[in-house]
Amino acid sequence: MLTKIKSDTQGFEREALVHLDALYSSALRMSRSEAEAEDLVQETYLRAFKSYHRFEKGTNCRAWLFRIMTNIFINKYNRNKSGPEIIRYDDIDDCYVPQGPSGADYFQNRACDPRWVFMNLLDDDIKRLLWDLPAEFRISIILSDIQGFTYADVAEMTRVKIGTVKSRLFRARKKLQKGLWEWAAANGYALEAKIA
Amino acid sequence: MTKTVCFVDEAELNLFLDNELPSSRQSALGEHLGHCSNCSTKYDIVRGLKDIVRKVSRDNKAPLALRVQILSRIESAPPKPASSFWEAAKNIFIFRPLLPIGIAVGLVAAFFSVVLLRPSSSGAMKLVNEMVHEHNEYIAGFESDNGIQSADPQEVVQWIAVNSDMKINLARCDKSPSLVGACEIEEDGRNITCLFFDRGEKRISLFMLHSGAGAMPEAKTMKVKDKSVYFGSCTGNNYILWSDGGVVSILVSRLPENSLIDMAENLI
Repeated sequence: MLTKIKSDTQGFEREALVHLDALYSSALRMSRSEAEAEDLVQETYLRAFKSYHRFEKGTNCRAWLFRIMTNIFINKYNRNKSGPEIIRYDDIDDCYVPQGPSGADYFQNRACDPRWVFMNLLDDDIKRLLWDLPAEFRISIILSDIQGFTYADVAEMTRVKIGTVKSRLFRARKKLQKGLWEWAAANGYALEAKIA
Repeated sequence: MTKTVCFVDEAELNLFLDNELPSSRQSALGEHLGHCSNCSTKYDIVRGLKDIVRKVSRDNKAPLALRVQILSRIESAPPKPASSFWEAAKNIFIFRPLLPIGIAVGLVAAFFSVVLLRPSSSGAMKLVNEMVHEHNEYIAGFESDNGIQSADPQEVVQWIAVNSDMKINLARCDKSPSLVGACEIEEDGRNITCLFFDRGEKRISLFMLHSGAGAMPEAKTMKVKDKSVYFGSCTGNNYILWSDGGVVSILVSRLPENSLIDMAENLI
């Protein structure tokens, strides 16, 4: 029995702990503080360890761990009214996207070009805007854009349909784009007059 | 000048970006983007945004202390708890004959039967499951008789402190949040260090170690920031232990000696 426990523990450490940095990074972006992120990651690993015997060896351990962490996060914040607001994706109106001049005029003024403008924003500003996204949108961005999971994976992790994932991601990106552009305009990186 | 206006759905550009379109549509749209400046400009914006988000979101290195805590907790959390005390005890005596666990089990059994299970006007705690784990460690779960399904481990330790003669220091350390109490007791002229750990799920664990110069099994003493600490190995893990103002702290990990000493330096 002891040999079995030791073997399970070592196998778990070898297979699961290599994903600690990725989980911690995502937990930091989901949670409000480093302490919350650490709690979330610890709980994820403990829960994963306890159900490790049910994990199918050879399948995607990283996706399995992210599924557990996302579930814990969603359950926790669904229970906690003081946590980040969880919103219905279809409660969000279409966000507008800044449209610069088209065609040959597009590059005449770099301050009208969202690509140039976004590249000049500071990392911290982008992180802050990412954090300001509603939790469901932020989770979709974290899992898909940052961690590179497929829509099917994200749908399973967040327990929604693939169509919902598509919609959330699309709207999240537009909202992020809008926020970045507005911040850039307010701080002189973009020409406000051109955004309307 | 003729201007071609193309209406590729922006949502579809997102799906293309994520490689989530059917393969035929994926390649057709890729071809289209190669010669449509209007669509490729829109696509560049969407892709640029994703690139930037990824760039600023590179993985953060998890703190060493977090890694150690996880290791410590999973190594202390049995995948399947023993079904009874006797099963646990059988495992101890079969697999751990060389550890000074006998004294720990004896003390703990006496302690819990005499002290913990004693009726109390403030609400008795009932021991509902127990086992001794591989790190010479006693784990117990509790229920209180006042209708609460199970008791908070920290409350249990407080209750023990109030209802027994043990002088328990209620320990709380940011870096070791699971350590909820520590004390030293004297038994047959020997000092035993007791460490109470919150193991989650309303379980509490108790490490009982010989303390005092040279008495701890396989431990060596050393100085960290002018404080005497014990360093030793047990069942494949290293541990470092020190006492500060009556509060005992312990780090248990597979990390090598130097790394544990570095961590202890930050905590002492």
